[in-house]
Amino acid sequence: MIFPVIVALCFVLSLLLEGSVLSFFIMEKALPDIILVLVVSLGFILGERKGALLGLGFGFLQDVIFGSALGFFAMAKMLLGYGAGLLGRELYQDQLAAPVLLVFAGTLTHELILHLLVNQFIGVGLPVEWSLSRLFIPKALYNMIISLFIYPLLYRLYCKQQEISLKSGARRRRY
Amino acid sequence: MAKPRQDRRSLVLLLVVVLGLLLLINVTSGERKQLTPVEDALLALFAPVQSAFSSAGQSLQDLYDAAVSFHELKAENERLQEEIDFLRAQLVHFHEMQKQNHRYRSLLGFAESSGYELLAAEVISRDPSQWFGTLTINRGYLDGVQREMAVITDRGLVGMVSTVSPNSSQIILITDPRLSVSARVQRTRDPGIVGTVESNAGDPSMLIMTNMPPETSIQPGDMIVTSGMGGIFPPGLYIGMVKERPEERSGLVLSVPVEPGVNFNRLEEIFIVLGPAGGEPGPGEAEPGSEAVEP
Repeated sequence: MIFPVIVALCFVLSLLLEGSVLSFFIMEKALPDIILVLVVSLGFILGERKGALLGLGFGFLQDVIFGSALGFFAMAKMLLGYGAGLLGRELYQDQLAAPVLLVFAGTLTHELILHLLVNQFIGVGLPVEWSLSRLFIPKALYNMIISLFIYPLLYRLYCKQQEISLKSGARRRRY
Repeated sequence: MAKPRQDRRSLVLLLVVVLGLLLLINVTSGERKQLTPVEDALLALFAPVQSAFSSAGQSLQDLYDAAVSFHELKAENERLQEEIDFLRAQLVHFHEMQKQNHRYRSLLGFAESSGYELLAAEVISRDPSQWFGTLTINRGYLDGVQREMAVITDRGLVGMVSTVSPNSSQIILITDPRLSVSARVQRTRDPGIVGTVESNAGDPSMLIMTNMPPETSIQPGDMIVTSGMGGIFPPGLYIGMVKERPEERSGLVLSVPVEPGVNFNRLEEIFIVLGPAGGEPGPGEAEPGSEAVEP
Protein backbone atom coordinates (compact mmCIF):
# COMPACT_ATOMS: atom_id res chain seq x y z
CA MET A 1 0.00 0.00 0.00
CA ILE A 2 2.92 2.28 0.68
CA PHE A 3 4.14 2.22 -2.93
CA PRO A 4 1.04 3.92 -4.47
CA VAL A 5 1.14 6.58 -1.73
CA ILE A 6 4.79 7.33 -2.38
CA VAL A 7 4.15 7.42 -6.13
CA ALA A 8 1.23 9.82 -5.69
CA LEU A 9 3.33 12.03 -3.40
CA CYS A 10 6.18 12.01 -5.92
CA PHE A 11 3.83 13.16 -8.67
CA VAL A 12 2.25 15.92 -6.60
CA LEU A 13 5.62 17.12 -5.39
CA SER A 14 6.96 17.11 -8.94
CA LEU A 15 3.97 19.12 -10.13
CA LEU A 16 4.61 21.71 -7.46
CA LEU A 17 8.36 21.77 -7.99
CA GLU A 18 8.15 22.09 -11.75
CA GLY A 19 6.31 25.37 -11.54
CA SER A 20 8.47 26.91 -8.86
CA VAL A 21 11.82 25.70 -7.59
CA LEU A 22 12.84 23.86 -10.75
CA SER A 23 12.76 27.00 -12.84
CA PHE A 24 15.84 27.87 -10.83
CA PHE A 25 17.70 24.91 -12.39
CA ILE A 26 17.12 25.97 -15.97
CA MET A 27 19.78 24.61 -18.36
CA GLU A 28 20.09 26.61 -21.57
CA LYS A 29 16.36 27.07 -22.21
CA ALA A 30 15.37 23.58 -21.09
CA LEU A 31 13.74 22.63 -17.84
CA PRO A 32 13.59 19.05 -16.56
CA ASP A 33 10.22 17.26 -16.64
CA ILE A 34 10.16 15.05 -13.56
CA ILE A 35 6.59 13.95 -14.24
CA LEU A 36 7.73 12.57 -17.58
CA VAL A 37 10.58 10.70 -15.87
CA LEU A 38 8.09 9.28 -13.34
CA VAL A 39 5.61 8.23 -16.05
CA VAL A 40 8.27 6.50 -18.17
CA SER A 41 9.91 4.83 -15.15
CA LEU A 42 6.65 3.64 -13.66
CA GLY A 43 5.26 2.59 -17.04
CA PHE A 44 8.43 0.56 -17.55
CA ILE A 45 8.01 -1.10 -14.13
CA LEU A 46 4.24 -1.44 -13.87
CA GLY A 47 3.23 -2.14 -17.46
CA GLU A 48 1.47 -0.31 -20.26
CA ARG A 49 -1.99 0.01 -18.66
CA LYS A 50 -0.84 1.57 -15.44
CA GLY A 51 1.76 3.59 -17.34
CA ALA A 52 -0.89 5.00 -19.66
CA LEU A 53 -3.23 5.71 -16.75
CA LEU A 54 -0.55 7.53 -14.76
CA GLY A 55 0.45 9.47 -17.88
CA LEU A 56 -3.14 10.42 -18.58
CA GLY A 57 -3.93 11.44 -15.00
CA PHE A 58 -0.85 13.47 -14.20
CA GLY A 59 -0.58 14.80 -17.75
CA PHE A 60 -4.11 16.08 -17.30
CA LEU A 61 -3.13 17.74 -14.01
CA GLN A 62 -0.21 19.35 -15.81
CA ASP A 63 -2.64 20.61 -18.45
CA VAL A 64 -4.86 22.15 -15.80
CA ILE A 65 -2.08 23.74 -13.83
CA PHE A 66 0.29 24.86 -16.57
CA GLY A 67 -1.50 24.68 -19.88
CA SER A 68 -4.15 26.88 -21.39
CA ALA A 69 -5.84 24.01 -23.23
CA LEU A 70 -6.67 20.57 -21.88
CA GLY A 71 -5.30 17.34 -23.33
CA PHE A 72 -1.85 18.20 -24.68
CA PHE A 73 0.24 16.85 -21.81
CA ALA A 74 -2.35 14.17 -21.02
CA MET A 75 -2.13 12.74 -24.52
CA ALA A 76 1.66 12.92 -24.84
CA LYS A 77 2.27 11.39 -21.43
CA MET A 78 -0.37 8.71 -21.79
CA LEU A 79 1.22 7.51 -25.04
CA LEU A 80 4.61 7.62 -23.40
CA GLY A 81 3.47 5.61 -20.36
CA TYR A 82 1.86 3.06 -22.65
CA GLY A 83 4.97 2.73 -24.82
CA ALA A 84 7.26 2.43 -21.80
CA GLY A 85 5.02 -0.32 -20.41
CA LEU A 86 5.15 -2.27 -23.66
CA LEU A 87 8.95 -2.08 -23.71
CA GLY A 88 9.17 -2.93 -20.02
CA ARG A 89 7.79 -6.34 -20.81
CA GLU A 90 10.61 -7.08 -23.24
CA LEU A 91 13.60 -5.55 -21.45
CA TYR A 92 15.36 -6.19 -18.17
CA GLN A 93 13.89 -4.01 -15.49
CA ASP A 94 16.70 -4.49 -12.98
CA GLN A 95 19.26 -2.91 -15.28
CA LEU A 96 19.53 0.83 -15.42
CA ALA A 97 20.60 1.30 -19.06
CA ALA A 98 17.24 0.50 -20.69
CA PRO A 99 14.97 2.80 -18.63
CA VAL A 100 17.50 5.63 -18.72
CA LEU A 101 17.82 5.46 -22.50
CA LEU A 102 14.06 5.12 -22.68
CA VAL A 103 13.69 8.36 -20.75
CA PHE A 104 15.98 10.05 -23.30
CA ALA A 105 14.02 8.70 -26.29
CA GLY A 106 10.72 9.24 -24.46
CA THR A 107 11.48 12.91 -23.83
CA LEU A 108 12.23 13.48 -27.51
CA THR A 109 8.99 11.65 -28.48
CA HIS A 110 6.98 13.60 -25.89
CA GLU A 111 8.29 16.91 -27.15
CA LEU A 112 7.68 15.96 -30.79
CA ILE A 113 4.09 14.93 -30.01
CA LEU A 114 3.55 18.26 -28.24
CA HIS A 115 5.16 20.08 -31.14
CA LEU A 116 2.76 18.38 -33.58
CA LEU A 117 -0.28 19.00 -31.40
CA VAL A 118 0.52 22.65 -30.77
CA ASN A 119 1.22 23.19 -34.47
CA GLN A 120 -2.03 21.50 -35.39
CA PHE A 121 -4.40 23.00 -32.85
CA ILE A 122 -2.88 26.29 -31.79
CA GLY A 123 -1.08 27.02 -35.05
CA VAL A 124 2.13 28.34 -33.61
CA GLY A 125 5.39 26.58 -33.03
CA LEU A 126 9.11 27.04 -33.28
CA PRO A 127 11.05 25.45 -36.16
CA VAL A 128 11.50 21.80 -35.28
CA GLU A 129 15.27 21.74 -36.03
CA TRP A 130 15.88 24.66 -33.71
CA SER A 131 13.64 23.17 -31.02
CA LEU A 132 15.36 19.82 -31.32
CA SER A 133 18.85 21.19 -30.78
CA ARG A 134 18.07 23.96 -28.31
CA LEU A 135 15.17 22.52 -26.32
CA PHE A 136 14.42 18.85 -26.88
CA ILE A 137 17.91 17.35 -26.67
CA PRO A 138 18.99 19.41 -23.61
CA LYS A 139 15.73 18.50 -21.93
CA ALA A 140 16.18 14.82 -22.83
CA LEU A 141 19.70 14.85 -21.38
CA TYR A 142 18.48 16.61 -18.27
CA ASN A 143 15.69 14.06 -17.78
CA MET A 144 18.08 11.20 -18.44
CA ILE A 145 20.33 12.40 -15.62
CA ILE A 146 17.37 12.71 -13.26
CA SER A 147 16.19 9.21 -14.18
CA LEU A 148 19.56 7.84 -13.04
CA PHE A 149 18.45 8.67 -9.50
CA ILE A 150 14.68 8.26 -9.75
CA TYR A 151 14.41 4.92 -11.56
CA PRO A 152 16.55 2.84 -9.14
CA LEU A 153 14.65 4.33 -6.22
CA LEU A 154 11.25 3.51 -7.68
CA TYR A 155 12.34 0.04 -8.79
CA ARG A 156 13.71 -0.79 -5.32
CA LEU A 157 10.53 0.49 -3.69
CA TYR A 158 8.43 -1.57 -6.10
CA CYS A 159 10.46 -4.74 -5.39
CA LYS A 160 10.14 -4.15 -1.66
CA GLN A 161 6.41 -3.72 -2.06
CA GLN A 162 6.19 -6.96 -4.05
CA GLU A 163 8.16 -8.81 -1.37
CA ILE A 164 5.83 -7.55 1.35
CA SER A 165 2.76 -8.49 -0.70
CA LEU A 166 4.10 -11.99 -1.34
CA LYS A 167 4.89 -12.52 2.35
CA SER A 168 1.51 -11.29 3.55
CA GLY A 169 -0.24 -13.46 0.90
CA ALA A 170 1.66 -16.56 2.07
CA ARG A 171 0.82 -15.80 5.70
CA ARG A 172 -2.86 -15.41 4.84
CA ARG A 173 -2.84 -18.78 3.04
CA ARG A 174 -1.20 -20.44 6.07
CA TYR A 175 -3.94 -19.24 8.36
CA MET B 1 -4.90 -16.63 -26.01
CA ALA B 2 -6.19 -14.27 -23.33
CA LYS B 3 -3.13 -12.03 -23.42
CA PRO B 4 -3.32 -10.92 -27.07
CA ARG B 5 -7.02 -10.25 -26.66
CA GLN B 6 -6.31 -8.16 -23.59
CA ASP B 7 -3.62 -6.28 -25.49
CA ARG B 8 -6.01 -5.61 -28.33
CA ARG B 9 -8.58 -4.30 -25.87
CA SER B 10 -6.01 -2.02 -24.29
CA LEU B 11 -4.97 -0.72 -27.68
CA VAL B 12 -8.55 -0.03 -28.66
CA LEU B 13 -9.15 1.71 -25.36
CA LEU B 14 -6.02 3.76 -25.91
CA LEU B 15 -7.18 4.81 -29.35
CA VAL B 16 -10.57 5.81 -27.94
CA VAL B 17 -8.90 7.89 -25.24
CA VAL B 18 -6.61 9.45 -27.83
CA LEU B 19 -9.61 10.41 -29.93
CA GLY B 20 -11.33 11.78 -26.85
CA LEU B 21 -8.27 13.80 -25.96
CA LEU B 22 -7.98 15.15 -29.48
CA LEU B 23 -11.56 16.27 -29.20
CA LEU B 24 -10.85 17.84 -25.83
CA ILE B 25 -7.83 19.63 -27.24
CA ASN B 26 -9.87 20.86 -30.16
CA VAL B 27 -12.55 22.20 -27.86
CA THR B 28 -10.27 23.80 -25.27
CA SER B 29 -7.51 25.14 -27.52
CA GLY B 30 -9.67 28.00 -28.77
CA GLU B 31 -10.72 31.04 -26.76
CA ARG B 32 -12.39 29.94 -23.53
CA LYS B 33 -14.51 32.29 -21.51
CA GLN B 34 -14.30 30.29 -18.34
CA LEU B 35 -12.70 27.19 -16.91
CA THR B 36 -14.52 23.96 -16.29
CA PRO B 37 -15.56 23.19 -12.67
CA VAL B 38 -12.95 20.40 -12.54
CA GLU B 39 -10.18 22.84 -13.53
CA ASP B 40 -11.52 25.37 -11.02
CA ALA B 41 -11.46 22.83 -8.22
CA LEU B 42 -8.00 21.54 -9.06
CA LEU B 43 -6.54 25.01 -9.36
CA ALA B 44 -8.15 26.03 -6.07
CA LEU B 45 -6.61 22.99 -4.46
CA PHE B 46 -3.13 23.54 -5.86
CA ALA B 47 -2.94 27.32 -5.77
CA PRO B 48 -2.01 27.83 -2.08
CA VAL B 49 0.64 25.09 -2.11
CA GLN B 50 1.95 26.34 -5.43
CA SER B 51 2.20 29.80 -3.95
CA ALA B 52 4.27 28.47 -1.04
CA PHE B 53 6.56 26.57 -3.41
CA SER B 54 6.84 29.60 -5.63
CA SER B 55 7.98 31.71 -2.65
CA ALA B 56 10.55 29.05 -1.83
CA GLY B 57 11.71 29.11 -5.44
CA GLN B 58 11.93 32.89 -5.35
CA SER B 59 13.93 32.74 -2.13
CA LEU B 60 16.31 30.29 -3.77
CA GLN B 61 16.58 32.56 -6.77
CA ASP B 62 17.27 35.55 -4.52
CA LEU B 63 19.89 33.58 -2.66
CA TYR B 64 21.51 32.57 -5.91
CA ASP B 65 21.37 36.14 -7.22
CA ALA B 66 22.91 37.40 -4.00
CA ALA B 67 25.68 34.80 -4.23
CA VAL B 68 26.30 35.65 -7.87
CA SER B 69 26.29 39.40 -7.26
CA PHE B 70 28.57 38.93 -4.25
CA HIS B 71 30.95 36.96 -6.44
CA GLU B 72 30.74 39.62 -9.16
CA LEU B 73 31.28 42.42 -6.66
CA LYS B 74 34.23 40.60 -5.18
CA ALA B 75 35.75 40.11 -8.61
CA GLU B 76 35.13 43.76 -9.46
CA ASN B 77 36.62 44.83 -6.16
CA GLU B 78 39.73 42.78 -6.83
CA ARG B 79 40.00 44.21 -10.33
CA LEU B 80 39.62 47.77 -9.02
CA GLN B 81 42.15 47.12 -6.28
CA GLU B 82 44.63 45.92 -8.88
CA GLU B 83 43.90 49.03 -10.92
CA ILE B 84 44.45 51.24 -7.87
CA ASP B 85 47.77 49.52 -7.14
CA PHE B 86 48.81 49.96 -10.75
CA LEU B 87 47.80 53.64 -10.79
CA ARG B 88 49.49 54.23 -7.46
CA ALA B 89 52.71 52.78 -8.83
CA GLN B 90 52.27 54.96 -11.93
CA LEU B 91 51.74 58.01 -9.73
CA VAL B 92 54.89 57.31 -7.73
CA HIS B 93 56.77 56.86 -10.98
CA PHE B 94 55.25 60.07 -12.33
CA HIS B 95 56.26 62.04 -9.22
CA GLU B 96 59.73 60.59 -9.45
CA MET B 97 59.97 61.60 -13.11
CA GLN B 98 58.63 65.05 -12.29
CA LYS B 99 61.24 65.57 -9.61
CA GLN B 100 63.96 64.23 -11.86
CA ASN B 101 62.77 66.52 -14.64
CA HIS B 102 62.88 69.47 -12.28
CA ARG B 103 66.37 68.55 -11.18
CA TYR B 104 67.57 68.07 -14.73
CA ARG B 105 66.12 71.41 -15.82
CA SER B 106 67.89 73.22 -13.02
CA LEU B 107 71.12 71.30 -13.67
CA LEU B 108 70.90 72.05 -17.38
CA GLY B 109 70.47 75.74 -16.69
CA PHE B 110 73.41 75.61 -14.33
CA ALA B 111 75.59 73.68 -16.79
CA GLU B 112 74.94 76.24 -19.52
CA SER B 113 75.65 79.26 -17.36
CA SER B 114 78.52 77.93 -15.25
CA GLY B 115 81.30 78.87 -17.67
CA TYR B 116 82.94 75.46 -17.25
CA GLU B 117 83.00 72.39 -19.37
CA LEU B 118 81.01 70.03 -17.21
CA LEU B 119 80.38 66.33 -17.38
CA ALA B 120 77.11 65.17 -15.82
CA ALA B 121 77.23 62.00 -13.74
CA GLU B 122 74.89 60.03 -11.54
CA VAL B 123 75.66 58.91 -8.04
CA ILE B 124 75.55 55.13 -8.03
CA SER B 125 76.57 54.44 -4.45
CA ARG B 126 77.67 56.16 -1.30
CA ASP B 127 79.77 55.20 1.67
CA PRO B 128 77.35 54.03 4.32
CA SER B 129 79.75 54.63 7.22
CA GLN B 130 79.90 57.91 9.05
CA TRP B 131 83.71 57.97 8.98
CA PHE B 132 84.34 58.99 5.42
CA GLY B 133 82.44 61.12 3.01
CA THR B 134 82.80 59.34 -0.30
CA LEU B 135 80.49 58.40 -3.12
CA THR B 136 80.76 56.64 -6.45
CA ILE B 137 79.59 58.01 -9.78
CA ASN B 138 78.89 56.33 -13.11
CA ARG B 139 81.64 58.07 -15.06
CA GLY B 140 85.25 56.97 -15.37
CA TYR B 141 88.39 57.75 -17.32
CA LEU B 142 86.76 56.49 -20.52
CA ASP B 143 84.49 59.53 -20.18
CA GLY B 144 87.42 61.87 -19.64
CA VAL B 145 87.34 61.94 -15.84
CA GLN B 146 90.72 62.41 -14.12
CA ARG B 147 91.89 62.40 -10.53
CA GLU B 148 91.60 65.66 -8.58
CA MET B 149 88.96 67.12 -10.82
CA ALA B 150 86.48 69.30 -8.95
CA VAL B 151 82.95 68.02 -8.50
CA ILE B 152 80.06 70.46 -8.21
CA THR B 153 76.31 70.76 -8.43
CA ASP B 154 74.11 73.78 -9.03
CA ARG B 155 74.18 74.22 -5.24
CA GLY B 156 77.92 74.45 -4.91
CA LEU B 157 81.12 72.48 -4.41
CA VAL B 158 80.77 68.77 -3.69
CA GLY B 159 84.34 67.54 -3.52
CA MET B 160 86.92 66.11 -5.88
CA VAL B 161 87.59 62.95 -7.82
CA SER B 162 89.82 60.72 -5.71
CA THR B 163 90.08 57.51 -7.74
CA VAL B 164 89.15 56.74 -11.33
CA SER B 165 88.29 53.47 -13.00
CA PRO B 166 87.15 52.92 -16.62
CA ASN B 167 83.47 53.47 -16.02
CA SER B 168 83.18 54.85 -12.51
CA SER B 169 84.96 57.18 -10.16
CA GLN B 170 85.09 57.79 -6.48
CA ILE B 171 84.42 61.25 -5.14
CA ILE B 172 85.74 62.52 -1.85
CA LEU B 173 83.32 65.03 -0.36
CA ILE B 174 84.32 68.28 1.27
CA THR B 175 82.76 66.92 4.46
CA ASP B 176 85.40 64.19 4.53
CA PRO B 177 88.08 64.91 7.17
CA ARG B 178 90.79 64.06 4.64
CA LEU B 179 89.96 67.03 2.40
CA SER B 180 90.45 70.72 2.99
CA VAL B 181 89.73 73.44 0.45
CA SER B 182 91.39 76.80 0.17
CA ALA B 183 88.62 79.42 0.37
CA ARG B 184 87.89 83.08 0.83
CA VAL B 185 85.02 85.33 1.75
CA GLN B 186 83.36 86.48 -1.45
CA ARG B 187 82.06 89.81 -0.09
CA THR B 188 85.46 91.25 0.85
CA ARG B 189 87.05 90.30 -2.51
CA ASP B 190 90.37 90.38 -0.69
CA PRO B 191 92.66 87.91 -2.38
CA GLY B 192 95.16 88.20 0.43
CA ILE B 193 92.84 86.84 3.07
CA VAL B 194 92.20 83.14 2.60
CA GLY B 195 91.38 80.28 4.89
CA THR B 196 90.63 76.60 4.56
CA VAL B 197 87.27 74.93 4.67
CA GLU B 198 87.28 71.57 6.41
CA SER B 199 84.89 69.07 7.87
CA ASN B 200 83.36 70.03 11.19
CA ALA B 201 84.02 67.32 13.76
CA GLY B 202 81.38 68.75 16.11
CA ASP B 203 78.60 68.80 13.52
CA PRO B 204 78.95 66.55 10.46
CA SER B 205 76.28 68.50 8.59
CA MET B 206 78.34 71.71 8.81
CA LEU B 207 81.78 72.75 7.54
CA ILE B 208 84.23 74.97 9.30
CA MET B 209 86.30 77.74 7.76
CA THR B 210 89.50 78.15 9.67
CA ASN B 211 93.07 79.44 9.41
CA MET B 212 91.83 82.98 8.64
CA PRO B 213 93.81 85.95 9.96
CA PRO B 214 92.13 87.54 13.04
CA GLU B 215 91.51 90.79 11.16
CA THR B 216 89.32 89.09 8.59
CA SER B 217 85.99 90.83 8.23
CA ILE B 218 83.42 88.09 8.32
CA GLN B 219 79.75 88.09 9.25
CA PRO B 220 76.70 85.85 9.02
CA GLY B 221 75.38 85.63 5.44
CA ASP B 222 78.81 85.89 3.88
CA MET B 223 79.32 83.49 1.01
CA ILE B 224 82.45 81.36 1.05
CA VAL B 225 83.96 80.46 -2.32
CA THR B 226 87.02 78.57 -3.47
CA SER B 227 90.15 80.71 -3.68
CA GLY B 228 91.76 78.76 -6.53
CA MET B 229 94.97 78.36 -4.53
CA GLY B 230 96.33 74.83 -4.56
CA GLY B 231 95.43 74.30 -8.19
CA ILE B 232 92.79 71.65 -7.67
CA PHE B 233 89.60 73.67 -7.38
CA PRO B 234 88.96 76.49 -9.80
CA PRO B 235 88.49 79.81 -8.02
CA GLY B 236 85.04 81.21 -7.30
CA LEU B 237 83.13 77.95 -6.75
CA TYR B 238 80.50 78.43 -4.10
CA ILE B 239 81.06 76.35 -0.96
CA GLY B 240 78.57 77.60 1.61
CA MET B 241 77.35 80.42 3.78
CA VAL B 242 78.55 81.73 7.15
CA LYS B 243 75.80 81.19 9.72
CA GLU B 244 77.31 82.64 12.92
CA ARG B 245 79.69 85.34 13.98
CA PRO B 246 83.22 84.10 14.81
CA GLU B 247 83.25 83.47 18.54
CA GLU B 248 86.83 84.14 19.44
CA ARG B 249 88.98 86.90 18.04
CA SER B 250 91.77 86.64 20.59
CA GLY B 251 93.64 83.73 18.97
CA LEU B 252 96.03 83.73 16.08
CA VAL B 253 93.55 82.43 13.61
CA LEU B 254 89.83 82.81 13.15
CA SER B 255 87.35 79.95 12.70
CA VAL B 256 83.71 80.16 11.68
CA PRO B 257 81.05 77.49 10.96
CA VAL B 258 79.87 77.36 7.36
CA GLU B 259 76.64 75.76 6.16
CA PRO B 260 77.42 73.92 2.91
CA GLY B 261 75.34 74.84 -0.10
CA VAL B 262 75.04 71.19 -1.10
CA ASN B 263 72.82 68.75 0.74
CA PHE B 264 75.16 65.77 0.74
CA ASN B 265 72.42 63.36 1.80
CA ARG B 266 70.40 64.03 -1.32
CA LEU B 267 72.99 63.96 -4.01
CA GLU B 268 71.77 62.19 -7.13
CA GLU B 269 73.29 64.02 -10.07
CA ILE B 270 76.57 65.88 -10.02
CA PHE B 271 78.91 67.61 -12.48
CA ILE B 272 82.61 67.00 -12.93
CA VAL B 273 84.50 70.12 -13.92
CA LEU B 274 86.55 69.02 -16.93
CA GLY B 275 87.96 72.49 -17.57
CA PRO B 276 86.99 75.95 -18.67
CA ALA B 277 84.21 76.20 -21.27
CA GLY B 278 85.58 76.21 -24.87
CA GLY B 279 89.14 75.88 -23.53
CA GLU B 280 88.99 79.44 -22.15
CA PRO B 281 89.76 80.10 -18.53
CA GLY B 282 86.81 79.64 -16.15
CA PRO B 283 85.08 82.62 -14.63
CA GLY B 284 87.09 82.39 -11.46
CA GLU B 285 90.41 81.81 -13.20
CA ALA B 286 90.02 84.65 -15.70
CA GLU B 287 89.83 87.27 -13.03
CA PRO B 288 90.79 86.22 -9.53
CA GLY B 289 88.33 87.57 -7.03
CA SER B 290 85.52 87.94 -9.56
CA GLU B 291 81.91 86.66 -9.03
CA ALA B 292 81.66 83.16 -7.84
CA VAL B 293 79.56 80.47 -9.50
CA GLU B 294 76.57 80.67 -7.26
CA PRO B 295 73.37 78.74 -6.95
